[in-house]
Amino acid sequence: MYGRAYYANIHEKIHVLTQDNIITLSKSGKSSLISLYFENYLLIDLLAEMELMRKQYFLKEKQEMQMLMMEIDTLLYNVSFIKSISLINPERNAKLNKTEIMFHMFPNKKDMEKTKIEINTIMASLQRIHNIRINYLILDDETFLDLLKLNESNTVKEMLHCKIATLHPQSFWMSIRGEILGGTMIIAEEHEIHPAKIAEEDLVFNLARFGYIEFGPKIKIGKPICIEYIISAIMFHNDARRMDAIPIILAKNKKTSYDLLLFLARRYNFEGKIFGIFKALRNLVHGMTNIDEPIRLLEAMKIEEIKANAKVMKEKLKLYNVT
Amino acid sequence: MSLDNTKLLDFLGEVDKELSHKIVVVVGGTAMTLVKVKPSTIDIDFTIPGEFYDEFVKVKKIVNPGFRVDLFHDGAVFTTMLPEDYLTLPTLGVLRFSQIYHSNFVILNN
Repeated sequence: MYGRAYYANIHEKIHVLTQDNIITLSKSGKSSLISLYFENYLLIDLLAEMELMRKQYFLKEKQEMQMLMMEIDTLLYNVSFIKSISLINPERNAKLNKTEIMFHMFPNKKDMEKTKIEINTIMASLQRIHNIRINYLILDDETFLDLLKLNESNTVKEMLHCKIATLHPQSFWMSIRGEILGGTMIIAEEHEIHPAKIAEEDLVFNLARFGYIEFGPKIKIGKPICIEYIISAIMFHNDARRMDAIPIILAKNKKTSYDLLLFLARRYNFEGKIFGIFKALRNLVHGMTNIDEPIRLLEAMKIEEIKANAKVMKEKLKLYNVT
Repeated sequence: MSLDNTKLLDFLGEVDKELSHKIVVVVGGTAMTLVKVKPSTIDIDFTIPGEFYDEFVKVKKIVNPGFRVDLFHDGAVFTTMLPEDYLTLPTLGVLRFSQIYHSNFVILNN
């Protein structure tokens, strides 16, 4: 859209976009910060056009992916409450015979679980037919926006720069516009965090932030990372001692997004283990009603539970003042 | 799911990004696909020198491909052992090829 990416071309284009009220420039020292100008009614259409162009470019000459996308659109077009559908990091995932999809849903707490199970059934069927690993994240609008606003690294903030909104891109951007016009600043993360690469001091810092302090390591202020990534990091390293932290931080943090956690569990293959932890936790901690739905979803997905050691878990929960 | 030359190179490119130093790996029928002797392969086989094996397992977990990847130790490919000097055999660009063992050698992270 802006020709070749030489500095001069980009500089010139930025000024044209500013004059057209598509972006705004604000000074920060010697630098200029660029923001999208959401007051401009036409901006949403321009962003949607960009998404559709990227979709065309991505799917061109990818026949297998086109077939999959056509089926996704056809089968899910009439599923209730879907606000938009986006592919997460499609180029990289396609290289690895995977696809990751975000289903952005209209808020409807009453029937959401039924819809989630319906999407799960469709995805499992498509995965079998197309011989491709499909991972999906189902987020209602409120959770989606909450995750975007948080001052910590998470998958949703990371996906902003590498996603393609393939279905209803206007709805996707309308949600973000509503939030920004309400005065919220949304900052996309440029780099994806891999749980295996979270530095030890960041892990210790974030565990302490979520209520699990270890004896020994000195806590230094580190990079804030979402609880779902921290759990994934512990699962990845499979360190028995650290595994004890998972039920404790889950019980202490009611704002955990279980939809995001299930997505990461599928992505990093720890669904069975987290299923076992959820079940033990439900029996041990009174009032943890927020894990009832993820348990039912995992049951619907026919995930085989890897049993957690409830006795050890109970002792640790007591030690950390959870029970 | 069959993997052609392009898909294999894409996958190796992703693995390469995660490796911290030079690791020699061997691929079986997969390698023949890489050098276009075979049109495609169903899975990917690597044999990895013992000292790098654990690192490679971690990289495989990080890349987490949506197809099957089999790893073998120290010159083994299923039940066949490559000759002891397999790491010093002549190279073909970044690919080494041995028709005797139907195996090729791919050097990543040059």
